[in-house]
Amino acid sequence: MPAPAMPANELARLQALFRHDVLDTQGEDAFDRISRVAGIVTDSPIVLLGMIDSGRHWFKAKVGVDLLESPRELSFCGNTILDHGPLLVPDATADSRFSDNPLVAGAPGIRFYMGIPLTVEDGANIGTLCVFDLKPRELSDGQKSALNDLAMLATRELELHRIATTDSLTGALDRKVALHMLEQEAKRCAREGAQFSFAKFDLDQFKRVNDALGHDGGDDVIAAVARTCRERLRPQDTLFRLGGQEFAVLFADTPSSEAEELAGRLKQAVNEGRHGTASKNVALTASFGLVAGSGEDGDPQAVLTRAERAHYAAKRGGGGQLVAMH
Amino acid sequence: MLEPALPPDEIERLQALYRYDVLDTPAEEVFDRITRVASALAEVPICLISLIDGDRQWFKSKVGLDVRETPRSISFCGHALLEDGHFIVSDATKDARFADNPLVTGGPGIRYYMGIPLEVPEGPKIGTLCVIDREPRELSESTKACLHDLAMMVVREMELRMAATTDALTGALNRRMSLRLISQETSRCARNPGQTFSFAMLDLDRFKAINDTWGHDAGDLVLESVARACHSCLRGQDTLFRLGGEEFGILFTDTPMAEAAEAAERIRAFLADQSILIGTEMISVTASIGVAEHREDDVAPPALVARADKALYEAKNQGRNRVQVAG
Repeated sequence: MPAPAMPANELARLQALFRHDVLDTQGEDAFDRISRVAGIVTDSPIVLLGMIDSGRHWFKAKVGVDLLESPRELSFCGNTILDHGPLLVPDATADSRFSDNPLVAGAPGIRFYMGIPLTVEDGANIGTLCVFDLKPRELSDGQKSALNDLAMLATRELELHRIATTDSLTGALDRKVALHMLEQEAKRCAREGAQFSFAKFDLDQFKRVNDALGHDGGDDVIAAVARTCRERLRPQDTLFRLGGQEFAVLFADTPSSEAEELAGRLKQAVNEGRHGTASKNVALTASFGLVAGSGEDGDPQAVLTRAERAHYAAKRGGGGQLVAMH
Repeated sequence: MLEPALPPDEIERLQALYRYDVLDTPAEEVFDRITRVASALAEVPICLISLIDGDRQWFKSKVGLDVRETPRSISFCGHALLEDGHFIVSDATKDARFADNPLVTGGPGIRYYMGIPLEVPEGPKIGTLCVIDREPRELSESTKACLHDLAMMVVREMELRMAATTDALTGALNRRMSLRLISQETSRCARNPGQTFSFAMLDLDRFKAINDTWGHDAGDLVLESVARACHSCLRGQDTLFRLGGEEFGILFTDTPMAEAAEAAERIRAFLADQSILIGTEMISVTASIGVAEHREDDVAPPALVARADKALYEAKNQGRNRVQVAG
């Protein structure tokens, strides 16, 4: 049995999944309702509304299954996320991709499958809504279109999650998502033997900016700095606003030597630019603290604390600096 | 034919509906997805999200029907609104309440109807999700349960819409909504001669000094606590708005000026008596309030708001911490 291939955008896709702060969270009515309706409308005994993580298919909602997750290499949905349309398997025993899959050859004896990818920003397929049956069959056009509508409603729910944790001024994600992403990225690194880096930074002597430009002017400056940083990040990197004028960046799948160069460029762009609006803007500097992480960093709070320590060292050095603690 | 009765909480119910600011808005994909799924699920040709306004039912989403609204008097959904759970008519031709209803004898030729009330968190039912067939029939229990799930999804979407018009700090609706709701209430009074309503404007006295002395966070705490105080003095049919900065508006539906002025006085006294904890200090804040009543010759919401604003200005001039009614 061939394991599902990896999507071309796998690294960015996983970070997009982590940004939605959904993996390993509790069940929620909104997703349970969608799965229940999907089961009844397609007359299917099994429904999964799940996310494809680096090594697993994790279920946010489910009907007719007791498991919380299953290995990605056995999942039908690992194939569904390779494309933007639905994947329909009328009879798995007649499909070489699935005929010797243990879930087909053995219990529970899957025959029929239809899955719709859940596509979020930048075209990342982070999960699927899918239905299974234990006998070969087809769906009517009405059932297929209803399943598609339900998948769109599920995608909308996921996006609402992300919007709720996004700072409206800067478009950066909040501290809670930073901790979630650090945890998930560490898990991914443990599985794949990879490394990540994390930087915390803030704007030096920001009170002066507020005093000079007022609170609204200060907000414009913060928004401009966030824009400057985001423009220089790669798709796999994520910007957070930890509070006030404090930010952080997760450099996914990046050893600290490389991250030091990336963070150095952010620092340079902030230190050398003017920030605010065309009519009201200021020059300022930022202080960066950078730390390395690996699969052994299971405690996200500890990573954040280390980054704070590096950041504090940069502040004590007089501001406008980058301190990396490897 | 039996016309649907009015629910006992009709006024409160209408205000709850108007707060969602959804009547006469364009179709939206998310609601259309829900009705499409419901019609596929129940295998019926017609599915509606029907919102029950004062004298009409208006469809936010519809499958299999061309009209956008019908009179409330002939609506099935007006009956469904009175039920807990759901309302089913298995064969309308055999039901004395509906047999001679024009929607049964003429188009669309309703036989089967199932409506699930859309019950919003504050309690009132603002409309229904309903499925309709041109043949008599029954639905399975699991299908009915799924339709309830879909109705919950509609209510949740409505809630999300409202969050966009709500001030996050105080939970009050925004200025745009105050104009919308005054317009809606004006139409309601036009339909029901003899009814009236009032609007109050409330401004905190010397609020700038609080911000300057204690900082913006303290100012926010004060605004939050004032909104809480107002909410505690108001009835379900009244609506609080944050018009900007430290200025609030209150819509008193179905309420003449004297009664609205009494409510405003309760709010004023409540605020004057309470202290707000800022850090370790207790501070107090007072408000000036201007109250005006709707007039039939008001051409647009601004006329009423301007009278309330003028009364507020007089309250400020006469020494603040007082309620002034418009002349």
